[in-house]
Amino acid sequence: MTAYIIRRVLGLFPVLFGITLLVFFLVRMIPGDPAVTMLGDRASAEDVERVREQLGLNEPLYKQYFKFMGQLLRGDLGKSIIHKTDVTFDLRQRLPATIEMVVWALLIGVSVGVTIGVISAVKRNSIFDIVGMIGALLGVSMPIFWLALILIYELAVNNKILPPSGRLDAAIFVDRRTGFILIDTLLMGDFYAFGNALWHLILPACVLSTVIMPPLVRITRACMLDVLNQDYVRTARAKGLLEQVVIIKHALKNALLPVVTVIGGQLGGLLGGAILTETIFSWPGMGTWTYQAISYRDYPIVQASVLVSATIYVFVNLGVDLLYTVLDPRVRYT
Amino acid sequence: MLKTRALSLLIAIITILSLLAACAPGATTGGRSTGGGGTLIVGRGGDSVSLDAATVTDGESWRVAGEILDPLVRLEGTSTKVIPWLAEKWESKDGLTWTFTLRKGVKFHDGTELNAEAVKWNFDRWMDPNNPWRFGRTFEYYDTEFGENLKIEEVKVIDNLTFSIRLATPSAVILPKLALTSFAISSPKAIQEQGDKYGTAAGTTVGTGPFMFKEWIPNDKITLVRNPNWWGDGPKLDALIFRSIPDNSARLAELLAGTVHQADLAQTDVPAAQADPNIKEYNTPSLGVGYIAFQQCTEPFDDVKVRQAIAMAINREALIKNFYTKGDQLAQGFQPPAIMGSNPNLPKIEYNPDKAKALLAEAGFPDGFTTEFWYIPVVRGYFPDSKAIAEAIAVDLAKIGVKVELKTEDWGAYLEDRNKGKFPMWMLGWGSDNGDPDNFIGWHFAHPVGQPKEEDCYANDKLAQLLIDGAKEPDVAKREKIYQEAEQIVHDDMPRIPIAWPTGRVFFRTSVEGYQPVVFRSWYEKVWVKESK
Repeated sequence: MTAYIIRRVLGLFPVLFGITLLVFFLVRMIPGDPAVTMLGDRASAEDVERVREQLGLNEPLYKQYFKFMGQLLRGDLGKSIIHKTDVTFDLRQRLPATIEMVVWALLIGVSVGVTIGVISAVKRNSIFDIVGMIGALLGVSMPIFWLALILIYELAVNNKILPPSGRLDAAIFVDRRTGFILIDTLLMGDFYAFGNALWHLILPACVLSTVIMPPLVRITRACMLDVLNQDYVRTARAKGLLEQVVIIKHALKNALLPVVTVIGGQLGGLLGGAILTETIFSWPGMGTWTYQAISYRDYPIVQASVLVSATIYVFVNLGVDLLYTVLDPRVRYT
Repeated sequence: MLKTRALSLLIAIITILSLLAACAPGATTGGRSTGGGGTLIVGRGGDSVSLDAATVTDGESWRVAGEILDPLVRLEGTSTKVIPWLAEKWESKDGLTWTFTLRKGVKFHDGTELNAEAVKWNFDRWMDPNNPWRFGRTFEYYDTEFGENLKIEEVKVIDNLTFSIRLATPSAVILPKLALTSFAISSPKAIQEQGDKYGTAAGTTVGTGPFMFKEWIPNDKITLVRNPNWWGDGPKLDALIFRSIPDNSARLAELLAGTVHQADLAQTDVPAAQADPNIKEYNTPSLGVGYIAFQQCTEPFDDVKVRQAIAMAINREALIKNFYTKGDQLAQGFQPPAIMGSNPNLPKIEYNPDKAKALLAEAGFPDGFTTEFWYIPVVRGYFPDSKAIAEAIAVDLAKIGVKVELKTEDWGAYLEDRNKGKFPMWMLGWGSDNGDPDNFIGWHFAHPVGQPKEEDCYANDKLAQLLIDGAKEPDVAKREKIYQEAEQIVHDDMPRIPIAWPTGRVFFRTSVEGYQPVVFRSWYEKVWVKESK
């Protein structure tokens, strides 16, 4: 097993190398010049040329690529063309913001989605099942930005129950040691700020969970229906085990393999940034960071963001594969 | 099992108690009821790029940097008249050498003294491309504003509080240019200590302004706090926070909910704000123009008759009525009235499709022609709904036989292709930086006498000379006449069809007191928040 894990981790490097090539050249094929977007619509041709020289954009592409790779191997992701800050500085703010929202969305989505899926399967064709399936269909069909705005206007503007957007009330100061506001507020011992951060998380996490929840409901239901018809489940019932034990200990555990695969895929994608949710809720995460960088042709940020997302995706996939061995002892890697 | 349950219970209790604490009325942003205090929260559509004001060209950077840094002079606010600021007086006998005297006893936020040496240090940083404190940054506005037509030859320290600026050619335009936030004075000590982190989210920004930098969370918020030792009258606020809220609807929601006190609103959201009794709208005079431009390097737009025909074919009044909001005006000339030199006597561009068709025939296009018309992909006050406006214009032009193919592209690519002269006909706009005509009609149409403009091949030597003379003329009345004549030439030649003079709109919650509408951006030193509402 250890050898398997090491092999999978080592396999990350050729993947990342391929991604650096792909993203480096693809992003430079987008029309538009970072020097022009940086200088604005008032830039003269001389100004643009001077900035291009300063940024090294006039050098041959292969030289620019080698320079980028050299920096990367030293752990340097470069400097933002527009903001002039180190990309790692920005990443330390953006990635925790995304992780915080996605993890909570995942917790809500998985706990609610799997629960509804199980109950729908157990009570197949009941009112609960029908409502659950209609709900899942609505969840998949509903545009997330529409749902977010409806909730913001109902819960924040018309009835001041939740805050409209942001990670924290603007006037609260937090010493951002880790970038995870929940952790940083606890480290400060500021429970008011901790509660305020949780309060701000509720709406975006719930909205984002509607991306994860509907597919989980449907796949959990489908897998449970398949498993509940198996002989061993019938045997477990025949042995006189409690229905609760049969469903959770025997059936659900075996139904979870495909569910875990779906969760892994969703998690990997969302950790790259849930751009619509981040935009509506003014959540300064990876999605909006990458989107703005593309708009501004801020090449170092686009490159770093894609690399980080790819790395996360690979590790999430590895985690999912390893989880299989827990769920199904027959699965063994060598 | 017991330990797990106990831990889960503990986590649940902490979470519930914290949520309850958060829901209770708490961190108030309100102030005292009698003339001061509070935290003002501003909702804007994007983050600042940098607070090193000399290196940026975007309004979101300037609006924050302008609260931390003071310029040498400032515009009065309700007008574009120049008033003393860090410099309490100045004189020039010949328009060539300007001597400034600084206020006494002003300190930077880091405790260092504002003196003539500090000012010269800032100018040296801007002027010299090899200055070691530039960190490879570009200083576009210095190069543009003090370029060939208004070069600064030398900045000289005379005594601790007095310095002189010697220009290459005499000019009065130096004063409104020095009012720009780009030329506000930073602390030399702070720049030297922080190096290339200065002005970024990884560093701080240090000036002499009414507010001091506290914190910058990228794409989230910038927090400024009151400078208790500010030399001016104020500030009244305890803190000033600029929040980045990219989505227009979310920003409006924050203003309606009262979680921000001021918000930049999209045109489509203005009616909702106007309808809310807790929100007050302030209007400022227009300092911008939306226009249609022509590529005159080749046919058909190299012929003035064609350009004039296009202008007469567009129902500009209908555009204003249907696509703009109350307060926006139909542009009667290129410069809006608030800019000095705007000509109130320009003949109106009449809407007359029949006359337009006849003019086109005279120009050799009796059956019209086909061309591309590029519209901007972004929302701007000068073209709030660019696609719809472009479509309306296309319909108007079709009536005189001019078929336009509507096109657009990503904003970055749009600006680059416009610079390369790719568009035969396009829409764009302008917002004044400093209220001066040299920054308006001068910026758009100045070109070397005898050479056409590179961008669109427009050439009028009389206009070129007028704009050169206007930039130099120290007498205000004479300057005004020069620019009015320039406006007449631009009207006759029609290199641009002016469409709208958009008004400036500022929206505040009614809990905010002390705000006075000014021509450029909000100034916060007199503002305070009455209560958390």
